[in-house]
Amino acid sequence: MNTSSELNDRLTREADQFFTRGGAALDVAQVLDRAGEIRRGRRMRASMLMAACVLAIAVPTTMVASHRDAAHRAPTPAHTVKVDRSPLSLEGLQTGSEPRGGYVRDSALHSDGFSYTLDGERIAGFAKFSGGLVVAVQNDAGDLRARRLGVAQTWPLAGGFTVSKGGHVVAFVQPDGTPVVLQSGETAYEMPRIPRGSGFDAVAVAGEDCKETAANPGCTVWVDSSGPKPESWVSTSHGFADRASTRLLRVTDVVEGRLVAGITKVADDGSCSEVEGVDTETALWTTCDHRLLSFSPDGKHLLASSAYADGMGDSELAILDSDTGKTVLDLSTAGRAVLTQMVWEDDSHVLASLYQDGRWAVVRISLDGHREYAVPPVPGNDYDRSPFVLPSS
Amino acid sequence: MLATAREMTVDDPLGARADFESWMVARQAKLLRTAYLLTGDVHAAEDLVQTALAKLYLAWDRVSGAPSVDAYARKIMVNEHTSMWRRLWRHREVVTDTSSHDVPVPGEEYDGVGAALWTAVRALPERQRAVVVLRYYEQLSERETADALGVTVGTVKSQTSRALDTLRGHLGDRDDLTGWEAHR
Repeated sequence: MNTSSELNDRLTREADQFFTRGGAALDVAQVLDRAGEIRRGRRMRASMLMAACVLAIAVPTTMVASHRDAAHRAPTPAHTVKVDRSPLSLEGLQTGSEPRGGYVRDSALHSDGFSYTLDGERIAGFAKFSGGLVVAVQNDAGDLRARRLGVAQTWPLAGGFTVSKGGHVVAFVQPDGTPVVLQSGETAYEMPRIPRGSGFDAVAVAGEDCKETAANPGCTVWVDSSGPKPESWVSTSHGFADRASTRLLRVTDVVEGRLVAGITKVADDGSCSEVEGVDTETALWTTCDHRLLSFSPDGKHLLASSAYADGMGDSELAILDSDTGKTVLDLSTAGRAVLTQMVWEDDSHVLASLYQDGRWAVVRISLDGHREYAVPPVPGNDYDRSPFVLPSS
Repeated sequence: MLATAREMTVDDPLGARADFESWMVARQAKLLRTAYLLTGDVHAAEDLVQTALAKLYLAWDRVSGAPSVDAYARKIMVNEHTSMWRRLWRHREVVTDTSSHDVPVPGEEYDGVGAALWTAVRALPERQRAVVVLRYYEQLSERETADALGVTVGTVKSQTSRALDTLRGHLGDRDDLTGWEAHR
């Protein structure tokens, strides 16, 4: 008997045990109930968006009326910038400049007018910092390694990259839980290892020089671990690693010295997140309407998406006020469009990899909702991953 | 639940629900079996399939006419299983659920070899287990497996090879399992 037929036979027998071990067929009502939960979450957000629009219209009108009564003068519009809240789509956009931090298309990294390919290895992620470019390459076995371009050394990699606010330090974590920070020159430091867990991911780094001196406090790396249970950690150049927060299942981003954003609760129909003071672990605000992704470089805004993370891609892009959680912009995708990656390009622009009807593109979205192509559409399908990879920040 | 069902019907003036229901009734047993092999847990399998079917229903208007709805459903399910979101949820369940319903129980229809193999398959890393299930239970081609997992064919080959090496390592001392070789 060969491997294929023997494994098939034994797996089939095991699969058949599903029903003898208490498994049961699902009722259509159960499935529609779950679909309703998912859909209601989307409707709730849409309703809130509509309410916000009505309020935005109503408030200036009231102000105008009062103003006229008081001074009998023609009103001045409350806002001179028209916000574009139309659904995100690949239709009818102008082409703007290429992504400032570079981008990957089909395993070719484009940055600052240069293109890099790495001997057929897939570039799964990359980050740009003052010391150059660091890429996550994935071989056929699916193993990830961090490779700094122009430097021979590589490191085994778990998760992605994160870059300090000043752009001088990039951090990542190895599969054994040891964070690594790269700085300008060829400097690389191993930080204290995360004491337990697996499935690590470096999500933030604070500090622009990890070599501590009397004048330099060093650096801190925030790391999430997903197994055996979700936990968030900090590893510091002071020589220790410890829990980052007892409240957060996962830290999603940090504003150095001020704010920490993360997930506090996960359920099948959504999630709740909060922003805490970085030292207090006290919630400044919470939301169960959005999933918090990353702070803008200036820390004023927070990129977010739907509270329910769909494996097929997101259908919402929201920008919140970091200090209050108030919605600044909330866009849904048109019809069949899905978002597969969203990153800040600068303080006032987000880059998003967007799929719609057989095409992929990188779209630049401003805080006022205006959008353009950063990379024009290319053919593709939603069965495959996006051909584009955007930089870690 | 009834209110939700009515709500969905109201949103479904073209009768897509009936089409979906027919498809679901015909295909869910296979999905549940595959989900059980992926998760190794009866209740996690039910939960996984419920969510995957719900998402399929929400996308039914655009996928029902696709050449292979089965492939699309499988892809949703595998994506759901391997997504960070899903991992978070599962980890929470692991912490709070101490029942032993997922422990293999030897029986007349479950010989020692099967138990040992199942234990070994469950011990595989998540991606390798998914590759084994899709290749050797679903009997997908390397290309179909790669499409379902969103990886390259080369990755499927290497993961298959690693998984079989691992299974041989666990079971190699059994005479009845000698001679396994990876199909490349």
